[in-house]
Amino acid sequence: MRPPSHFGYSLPLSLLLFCWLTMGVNVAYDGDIFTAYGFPLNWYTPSIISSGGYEIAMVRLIVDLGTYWVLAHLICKALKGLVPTPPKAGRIFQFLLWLSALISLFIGVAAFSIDPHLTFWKLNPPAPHNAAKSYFISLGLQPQPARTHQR
Amino acid sequence: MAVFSETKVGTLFVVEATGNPQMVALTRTSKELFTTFIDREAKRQGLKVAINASFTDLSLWDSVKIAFSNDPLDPSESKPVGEVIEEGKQIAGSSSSGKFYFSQNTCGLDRFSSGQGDPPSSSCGAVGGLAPIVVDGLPYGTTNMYSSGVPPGAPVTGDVDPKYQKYLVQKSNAMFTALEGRGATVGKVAVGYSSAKHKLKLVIEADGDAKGIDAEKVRTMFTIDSMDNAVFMDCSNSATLWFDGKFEVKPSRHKDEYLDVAVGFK
Repeated sequence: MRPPSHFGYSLPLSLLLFCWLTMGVNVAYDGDIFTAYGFPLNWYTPSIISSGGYEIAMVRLIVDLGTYWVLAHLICKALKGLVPTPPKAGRIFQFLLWLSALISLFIGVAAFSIDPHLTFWKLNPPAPHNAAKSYFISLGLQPQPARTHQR
Repeated sequence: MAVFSETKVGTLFVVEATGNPQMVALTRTSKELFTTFIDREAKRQGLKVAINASFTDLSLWDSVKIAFSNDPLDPSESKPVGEVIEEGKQIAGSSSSGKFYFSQNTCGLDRFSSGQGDPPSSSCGAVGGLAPIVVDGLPYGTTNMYSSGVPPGAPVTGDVDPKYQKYLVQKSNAMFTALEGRGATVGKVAVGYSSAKHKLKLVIEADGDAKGIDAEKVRTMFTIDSMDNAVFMDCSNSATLWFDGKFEVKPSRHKDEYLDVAVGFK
């Protein structure tokens, strides 16, 4: 059975969105600010013990990828009837979507590769309950580098 | 003149120095490998031992460049975290007031200190942006610990209200917790000083060492030796130790291409 045609758009679109758009959370405690990224779950954080390192929670990453795919699928489904696309233009657009998604993914994986530390679920260190949190939208190619914050 | 000794405790390298050791902060200023830079500068300045020090930040594009090329980055492409001070002048880095520093406050005097914030600007040699182990006698760890009689409601981790401060016997710290969470095998570089014994101590574990020890055991190595100030430098596969003309521990190939800051002692 052939999958509906909008799958050809939703898969690369979800990858592209995953690579470029996410949510960040700053947690302030111990006189410092620590940042984690991911939507709906934080799945990576720049390492605070190693230059260029990242902590990556694999299950959270998979949950986020799945969420992005569902959202991208819904977007494509909603747009399908609204935007008429000639077949040739559709194929070119699909190709460009895949190309940009794969390039973005490739760059992201390369940046993570300097010193990655993979975990199953937990991102270390866990924030204390009394820590102040602020959320923001992170638009830009992931991973975001560690930022040196101070209060 | 300072007397240095190097011993191996299991797979750890332990360097101790007594007799007025002098600290020198080193920053890479040309496009060369970190280890090439340390070897040359340590010999030129007559150092006995040198280790990697502050963290180094990279932009996303420089991370990608490092991942694919075998060339060292130009120092202008990487950014040390925390101030690096040599003879009262900031020679590299930026303010990192939430993290910790290790400093030799006065040239010629073997008094080393640590604290939260940027190092004193008049330091003889200092590096900032570090993780605490013991600061002015107060040990750091994964949780806050209090003496008996502490009022209820004292936080287990994170910031401590002034009303609980006098009961505090161990302070939690995120960097310490993150390092403890990585377990015994992750590379570690630590330096401490005992003002009672006038002794400097360095503990270095290579990354991936299956017989290594965790952060809490490293802390114990400092506290049982009456070290009142000790900090972790950049850890994991950044760990580097040069002793008496040769490398005992080298950083990963990627880190060798862009780390910038080292400290040495003579």
